[in-house]
Amino acid sequence: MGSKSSSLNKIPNAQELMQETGFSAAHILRLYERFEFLDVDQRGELRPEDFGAIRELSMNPIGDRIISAFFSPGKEAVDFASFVRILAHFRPTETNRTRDGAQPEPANSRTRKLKFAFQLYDQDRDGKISREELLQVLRMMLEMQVTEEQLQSIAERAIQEADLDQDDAISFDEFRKSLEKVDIDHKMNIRFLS
Amino acid sequence: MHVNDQLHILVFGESLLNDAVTVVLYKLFESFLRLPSVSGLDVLLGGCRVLVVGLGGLFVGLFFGLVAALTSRFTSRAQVIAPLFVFLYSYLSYLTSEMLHLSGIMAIVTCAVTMKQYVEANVSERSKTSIQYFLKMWSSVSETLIFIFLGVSTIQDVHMWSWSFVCSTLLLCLIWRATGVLLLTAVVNKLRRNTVTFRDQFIIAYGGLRGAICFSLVFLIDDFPKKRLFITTTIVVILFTVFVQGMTIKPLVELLDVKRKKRALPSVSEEIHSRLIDHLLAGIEDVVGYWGQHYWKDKFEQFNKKYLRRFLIREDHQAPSSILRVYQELERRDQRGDEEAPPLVDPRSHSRPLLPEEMDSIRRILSRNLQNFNNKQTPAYSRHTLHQDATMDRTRKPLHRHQSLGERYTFNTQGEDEFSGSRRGRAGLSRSHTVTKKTQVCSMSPRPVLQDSSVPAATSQTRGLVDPKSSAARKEQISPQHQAPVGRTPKKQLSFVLESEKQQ
Repeated sequence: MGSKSSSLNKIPNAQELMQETGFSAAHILRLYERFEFLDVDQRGELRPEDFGAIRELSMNPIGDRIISAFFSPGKEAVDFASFVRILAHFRPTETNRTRDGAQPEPANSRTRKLKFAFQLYDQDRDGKISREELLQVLRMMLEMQVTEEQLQSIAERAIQEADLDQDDAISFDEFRKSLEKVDIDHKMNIRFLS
Repeated sequence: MHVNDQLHILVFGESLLNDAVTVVLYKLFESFLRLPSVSGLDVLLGGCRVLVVGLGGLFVGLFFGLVAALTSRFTSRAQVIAPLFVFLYSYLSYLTSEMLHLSGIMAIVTCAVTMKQYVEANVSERSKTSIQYFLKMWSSVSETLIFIFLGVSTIQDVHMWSWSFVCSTLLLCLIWRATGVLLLTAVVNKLRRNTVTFRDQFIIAYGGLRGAICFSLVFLIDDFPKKRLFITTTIVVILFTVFVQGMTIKPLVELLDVKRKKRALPSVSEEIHSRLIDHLLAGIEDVVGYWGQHYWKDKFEQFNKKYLRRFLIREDHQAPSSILRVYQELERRDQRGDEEAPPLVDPRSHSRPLLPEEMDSIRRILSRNLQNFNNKQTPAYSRHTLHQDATMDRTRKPLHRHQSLGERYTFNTQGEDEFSGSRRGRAGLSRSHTVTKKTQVCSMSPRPVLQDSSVPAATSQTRGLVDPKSSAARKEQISPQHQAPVGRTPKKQLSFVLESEKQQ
C-alpha cells in the first residue's frame, strides 16, 4: 500500500476525485497511467488528436462523437479530473447504496448514463433529438448498408415510436421511456479491475 | 415456456453439453472397467480426453458448418436442394466426429450454429420454412420413438427390483444435481454482473430431466449379472424426472414468479439506441485500454463482416445490420396486420413490404393517375416459377444500391422481353416501393401488364389475386395498356413516372 499511496500523491486531487466518483485508489491509478499513456506530449491534458491516435476508436462508427463527448463545449483540452469524471458514468451501478437527498446524483446512476448517451445524439444541446440528428447518427452506424430511403423510413419509424408529444423530436424523457425495457445499468458499464 | 432469455439459454445450453459429456464419460468409465487398476494418471488422462473429445467435436462441427455455408452460396439455381444440404451436412458432421471418436453431439450443435449465420442469408424463404418445419417434425418423431421404446421396455422386460438401490439412486441423483448447480452457479456468479438468482438456480436444478441418452446408454453396457437392475433403475429415474418433474415445473415457474421472456419485439428506436450504446461502450473501452467483452465482440463482428460474410454469403444477400432487420421484421408484421393476406400469399414476396405511410403516399400518387400495383401474387408451384425465383433474386442485387431512376428502368425494360422478365419486372416493382414521407424517389413502375397472349395457366390464375387495394383509377389505366404491345409498355411506364416526378 505504501507504493500506491505515494504514486497517488502525484495525481492532483486524487482523494477528492475518489470521493466524487466512487473509484477506488487502484482505479484512479490505472486511469492515470492510461491518461499519461495517451498524453504523448506530456502536457497534462488531452486534446482530440490524442484520442484520434487510438486506432480502434478511429474505426468506431461513432468514434468522433465519443471523442467530442469528452470535451465540454468550447474547451479544447481535457484534464485528468474531467477525464475521470466522464468515465465515472460507466462504473457499475450500485443499487443498494442508499443516498441521502443532499448528495448530488452519482455519475453512474441510470439517469446520468442515459443523459450521456442522449448527448451523443444531441449535438446542438437543445435537449431534443431532431430528425436530422437522428439521421446523422443512423448514417454513421449503418454506413453503406442501407439506401437513403430506407434510412429515412427507419428514422421516421423510430421517431414515430418514441415521440409522444408529437413535436417531431425526441426529448430526454421520451428517450428514457423508449429505453425502459433495456437494462441500461447492465449494458452501460465497464468492469474495471475490481 | 417463455422464461427469461438468460435462464432459457442456461438450461438449453446445459442440456446440450450434458449430452455430449454424458457420452464421453460413459465411454471413459467403460474403458476404466477394462483396466486392471485405475491410477491417478488414468483419471487425469480421462479428464484430458473429455476436453479433447469436446473441443474436437466443436471444431469438426465448425468445419462442416463453414463448408455448408459455402455450398449454400452457390445453390441459387437449385433451390430445392438447399434444405437437403442443411440436413446432410449436419448428419455428415455427426458421422465424421463419431468416426474420429469425438463428440458427435457437439459437432452437430456447432455445425448448426455456424450454419444458421450464413445459410439463413443465402437460401430463399421457402427453403428456410421447409428446413424449419422439417426439422421440427423430425425431432418430434425421434424423441417420440425413444420414449415409445422406453415405455414398451418398461412393460415388457423382466425387471429386477431392489428398493434400496433404486431409491438411493434416485435420491442421490436429485441431491447431486442440486449441489452441482449451486456450486457451479456460485463460481459463475463471481464472474458475472448479472447474477443467476436463486429462483433461476432452482429451476435449473429442477429442470434436469434425464432422458433418452441415459436409456440408450444403459442398454449398451456389456451383459453382467446385475444388468437388469441397472436397466430398471434407469427406467425409474427417467420416468420420475420426466413425469413428476416435467409435469410440475410449469406451475412451479408460475408459482415462483420466474422472470419471463419479454414478449414484444424490440422497437426500432430501442434497437437503434442499444446499438449506439454498444458502439459507445466499445469506444470507451478503447479509450480506457480495457479489452472487455465489448472489445472482443466488436473485433469478432469486424472479422465476421470483413471476411466470413463476404466469402460465405451470396453477393446480393449480404445481411443487413440488426437495426435494418428489426425494422423489416416490424414492417412485415404491420403488413400482415394491415391486410388480411390471403393464405396463398407467398411469404417470400414480403421481402419488400410497405409501410402504412407508403400506402398513403401511394394512394396519393394514384389519384394523380399513376398506375401502381402492389404485387402479392403467388404463382402456382412449378418448375418454371422456380426458375423465375432465381432471376428475381438476381435482379434484387442492383436495387439495393443507390440508383438513378433511369438505371432502374433499364432493368425493367430488359425484363419485358422474355416471359420470365415479367417476374423480373415485378421484382423491380416490389423493390422500388420505397416511398417515404418526403417521397424523394418515386420509382413506381406500373405493373407490366403483358400477360395477355402469352399467359400460361399459372399466371392467369394469379390475376384473380390482384391486390384488392388497386383503386378504380388504376383499373382504367390498365385497359389501354392491355392493348399495347409488349415493347411499348416500358416507355409508357417511364413516361408515367416522369410525369409523377414533375408533379411532385
